[in-house]
Amino acid sequence: MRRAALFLAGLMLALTPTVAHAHEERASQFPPGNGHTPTYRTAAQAADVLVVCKPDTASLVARIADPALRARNEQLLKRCGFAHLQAAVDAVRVRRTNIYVLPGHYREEPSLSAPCTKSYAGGIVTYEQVVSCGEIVDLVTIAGDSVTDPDIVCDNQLCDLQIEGTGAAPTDVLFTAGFRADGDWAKHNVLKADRADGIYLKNMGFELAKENAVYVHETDGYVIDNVVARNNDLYGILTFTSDHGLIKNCETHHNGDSGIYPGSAADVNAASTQPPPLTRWSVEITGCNTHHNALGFSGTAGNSVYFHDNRVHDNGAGYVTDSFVGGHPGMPQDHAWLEDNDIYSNNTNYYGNVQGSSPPCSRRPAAVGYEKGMVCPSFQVPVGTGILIAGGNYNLIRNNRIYDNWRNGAMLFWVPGAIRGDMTASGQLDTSNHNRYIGNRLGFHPAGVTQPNGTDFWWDDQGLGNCWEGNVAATGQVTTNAVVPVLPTCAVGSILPAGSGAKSATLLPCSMYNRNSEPDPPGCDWLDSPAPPRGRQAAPGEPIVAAAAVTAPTQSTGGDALPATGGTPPVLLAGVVLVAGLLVYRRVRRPVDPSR
Amino acid sequence: MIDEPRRRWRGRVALWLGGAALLVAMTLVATVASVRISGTAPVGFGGAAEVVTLPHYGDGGSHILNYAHGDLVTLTFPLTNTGRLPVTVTAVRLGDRPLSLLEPQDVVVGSARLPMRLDPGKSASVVLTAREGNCRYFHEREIELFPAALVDLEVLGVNLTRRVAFDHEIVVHSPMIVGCPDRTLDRSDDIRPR
Repeated sequence: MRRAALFLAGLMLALTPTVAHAHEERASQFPPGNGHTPTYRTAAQAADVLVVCKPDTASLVARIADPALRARNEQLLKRCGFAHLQAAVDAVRVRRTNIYVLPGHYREEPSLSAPCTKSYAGGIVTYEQVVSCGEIVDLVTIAGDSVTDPDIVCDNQLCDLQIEGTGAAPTDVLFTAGFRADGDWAKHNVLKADRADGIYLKNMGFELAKENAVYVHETDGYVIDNVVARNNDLYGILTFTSDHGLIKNCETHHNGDSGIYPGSAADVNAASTQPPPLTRWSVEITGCNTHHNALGFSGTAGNSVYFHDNRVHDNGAGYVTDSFVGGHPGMPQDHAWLEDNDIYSNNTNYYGNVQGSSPPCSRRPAAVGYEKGMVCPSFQVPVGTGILIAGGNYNLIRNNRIYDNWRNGAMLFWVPGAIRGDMTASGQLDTSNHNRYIGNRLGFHPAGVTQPNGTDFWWDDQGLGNCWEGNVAATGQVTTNAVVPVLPTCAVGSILPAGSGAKSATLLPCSMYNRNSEPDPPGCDWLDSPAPPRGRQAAPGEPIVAAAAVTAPTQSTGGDALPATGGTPPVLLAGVVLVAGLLVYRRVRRPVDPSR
Repeated sequence: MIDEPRRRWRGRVALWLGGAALLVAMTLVATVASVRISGTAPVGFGGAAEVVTLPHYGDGGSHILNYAHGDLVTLTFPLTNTGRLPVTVTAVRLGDRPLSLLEPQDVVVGSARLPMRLDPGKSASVVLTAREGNCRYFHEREIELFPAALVDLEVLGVNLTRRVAFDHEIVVHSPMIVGCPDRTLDRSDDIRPR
């Protein structure tokens, strides 16, 4: 028996590095981290140039309005040698190759019917399988590491590969995985860059994958630039156990999990006890517009993420990072830096799409309507929340504009390590500590009207060194659910290692969520739409939002409904009343004997 | 033709008999309804169980049990007949879900196999052995909660179920695919019947 009966008092905080696996993925590890973020390369700077086009590319190019861009495409079209991107990738012979993809709709048909996929029997897809038959899960695969060495470092001709769409807009070069003839998803990923150090993707659209539109895995050095990732069942852009990343100017929308997910980002500041600003981060995300996803952003173990100057809006929840899900290297989450973002109106409730007797998301994938914007949320979040840290340390949330999130502007709570499989004593209180919320503007709509958050700062009162300072609310009062009368400032910080059990009680029932099998877990009110906050003013041109009734939270039964074990059963009361009535009846009906 | 007094007499007898029968029936129902089993039980863990107990996490505290596919774990908790009738314990379950991360394999009450008689005022220790399984029907971020045991009883020929809450809820987190050898990566395979 290996029982660790732990009691909170007396536990020491400690950060425990995690040896772990991937998300729904093979066991993964961080790259060495000695790479660098690639820079954009012109054709003249490339070691080789390959061009991909479609039969209708010429007509599409002819419609390009910008003369210079049109001329460039016309020149490239003369060099077109491939009809499919995968064919061009397979033809790369030298590092630092540029592949130009001309306007067109790319379905990558050879990948859809690759004979090698027939031998796949399910389960984990190994890196060797990715190399030999990436088509098992990917529409396009870029695998840069040799399978003959034990490391995960890119060492073949696909290192430093740059792939660029040449249209006027990203979706002019559109990759669609879509559905098979039987109505199931065609591929898990539209494009996967696996151990592909130095990969640079630019100006393309990716859509309709069973999991991810763009997936970067175990890669040191990557850029995703001006990419649209939409209408996928899980993530728009997913990076995992990768380092030296830059995601910029992206648009991600209508994804069933999050628009952008840098999960298990290289834990480059794990040993640091200094909060951001950072001088070294694992991935920078900037200039992105992530909207109408179940989550705008998420990152289990989203470590050292520098997230700035983005718009996160109209999702179910905005920015979510956590130490909740097991099997992710780099736990617990730490050192995200959120600055100068607009995080607003994250109130879109997609949970109705999975609830009820015959919800649209229960259909075969091809019939669900993903391509029309149907979102089937795969993860449970408190609808109406701007920023959620579900277990995290040393995060800095500074100078953001956070407004019109009807439940909470920002949430912070503790997740004990055992939830993610860390059964050590020190792991139980290793979140959420030393998080800072500084100088954020709350409830200020840019048009000048007031659109407050439901509660500006929701906190479970737990953690050491958490602080709130210099935040300003449009209503004049920063709102919080904290037990303490004033949120701790950074000179002092919070001082309670353990949090409120009552507040943490909301997490577990909601964690039973499963969009197929448990879409409305008892005791979870996160999936209900909150009402608009009092005092919310309509922005110019915006329809006035009616003050909808708050859906009553379901009470936890703590199990199956069963007959009460105590009290007087109503049927017994009825019997007693009946017998008493008979006695009264007898007495009333007894004839009077005049002789007595 | 029946005379009036005789008719009244028969009516009274019928009324009394009906009332008495009803009273007996109500008494039986009340007696059965009064069957009580201890409401809350501290639970102990054994076998391969790897557990962290956090008394202040969640609604009433949590026993967080690490999922290791195929491991057999034991849950031990007391069962006390706090009612006035002897009961026969016919089964002890962890819930009604058809596919669960904890699949009961064996139950021993005291030193006896089920069914087992438990007299009023008596206690017995339940040892429930469960296999950690069925992860393929859960996604990798899903939790299953076990707040109580369900105890099936028989009393005077009537079958009952009583809920015995654990001192803290048992929490089991579904593993990732690397910890779940049965998972297929085909999401349509992991839908549980509702």
